[in-house]
Amino acid sequence: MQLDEKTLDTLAWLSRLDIPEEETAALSESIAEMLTFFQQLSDLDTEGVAPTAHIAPLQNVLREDIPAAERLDRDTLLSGTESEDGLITLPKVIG
Amino acid sequence: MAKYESVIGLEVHIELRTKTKIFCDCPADHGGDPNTRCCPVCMGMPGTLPVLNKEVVNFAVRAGMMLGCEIAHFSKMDRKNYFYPDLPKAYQISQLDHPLCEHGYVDIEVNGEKSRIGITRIHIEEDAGKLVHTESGSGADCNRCGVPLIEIVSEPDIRTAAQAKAYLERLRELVRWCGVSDCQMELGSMRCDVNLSVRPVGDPNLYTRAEIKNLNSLKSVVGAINAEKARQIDETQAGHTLLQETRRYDPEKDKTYTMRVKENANDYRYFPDPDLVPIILTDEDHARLRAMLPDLPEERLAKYTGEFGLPAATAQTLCDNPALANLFSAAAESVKQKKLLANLMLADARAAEIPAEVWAVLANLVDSGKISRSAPEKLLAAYRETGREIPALVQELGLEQVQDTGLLESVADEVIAANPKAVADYKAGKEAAIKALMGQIMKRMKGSANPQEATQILKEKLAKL
Repeated sequence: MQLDEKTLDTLAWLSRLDIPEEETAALSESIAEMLTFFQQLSDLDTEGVAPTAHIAPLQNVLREDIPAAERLDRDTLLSGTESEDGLITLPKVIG
Repeated sequence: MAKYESVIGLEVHIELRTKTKIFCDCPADHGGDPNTRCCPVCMGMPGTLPVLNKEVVNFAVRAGMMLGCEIAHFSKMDRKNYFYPDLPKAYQISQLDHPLCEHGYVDIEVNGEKSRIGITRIHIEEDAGKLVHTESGSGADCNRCGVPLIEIVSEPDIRTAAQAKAYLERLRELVRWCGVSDCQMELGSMRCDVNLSVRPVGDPNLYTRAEIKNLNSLKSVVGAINAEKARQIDETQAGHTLLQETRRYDPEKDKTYTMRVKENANDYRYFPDPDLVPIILTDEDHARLRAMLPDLPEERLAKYTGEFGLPAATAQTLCDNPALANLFSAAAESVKQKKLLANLMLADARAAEIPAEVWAVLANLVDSGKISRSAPEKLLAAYRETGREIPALVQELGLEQVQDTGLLESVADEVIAANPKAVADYKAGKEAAIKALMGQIMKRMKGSANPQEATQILKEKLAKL
């Protein structure tokens, strides 16, 4: 299976990755290999097999609408991240 | 020159009023300091697992039934992938190809012209957080992350701004009425996106459309539709090609502006969320949820003014507040004097906090003359404070009006004997003199006499003199 340059560019944009020029060829080849691997699934005969949405034979795993009795405090929640006045610090988004 | 019409479809996001968020047990209501109503699940931390809130499914189905939708037997959650700093997981859990509800409608009437606006689908999804822009940069507040939403997508059946307004008003009325959201546009619990294209009148085709995002008032929806329609007609007549794009509306300038041009439709790379399993709703589930649906607001209004004999204004005030109307209906089942009940409830600004049974007990006590018309106010204050049963509070506060006719009669005899002047005045035709005698009865009985009954007894005795 082949991966054209435009598709790789789209993938890179969607993943917000800046792929250096010298890596594109190797990466294209590597992704094409993965696609070929998954391509094998298309060879299976699925005639008469019902589509599934999940691999586990489970349904309706639901929770009652009851608020938590105890909650993590903000300092703990934000301990792994940069924050200021309780807000998670972000790179400048707009402008 | 060709005459143009606009073809409009609306996407409406409504926050569901569940107690907790859609996939975790954080509180779902507004407010709180930044990042104090969130947890590792709704903040999208690695290794956490979402679990769907049962009530979100119930509420969405209830709204769907209220809007005439077919309800799914099989539904599932999907991931919608995109990057934005208010979306910590970098995907939103939503529904793509198996929404909970499909094929509904809303009937509207504009200037006497009736039309039916189709609803394509209603699906459930999680809300994103909020970005706060400060002088030093941007910050993220995750309190709103995971607040449950329904997205209601209409068919492109709307032609005018007035129809769009009528559709939104009726939609809001019905969704509020079935108790799943307060739909307050000004507080962001109901938000609207407009999809609009133009075409020559009589042309059945659909042309390139623009999407105007995040309109948070009926006024801005109307303004955005009129401004965008005018823009697209101008562009078309000037021979320009319209782009499929996302725009925003500036109400100050009354114009729409480009936000971004759609690159391609598959940007979101939806796929079934592997952390969440399918939702199966049986015929029994459908029947159970349908049985919980209220009547239509106009049916309820007709019942209140007709069968219950309430004045139109009283009935309307009750129906303007769905929670209050439901409370009133529940209480009214065991109360004969519906109007008395309504008046008692409407006299209390926080009536919705009091259970229906308590309202019924109060109305029936007043109706039977066991307590005075002014007693409920005192009883409610005591009830709010202590939470004790009303009959116990009546005793405790000494609010019981004496029903003991024998006692009333002997007190009346005493009062008549002790007040010859007032009796003579009354007999001489000064009817107001009876008030002095009543006052004496009340004084002797420390206010516990039923005024109507006491007056009656007094009159009878005076007539025999």
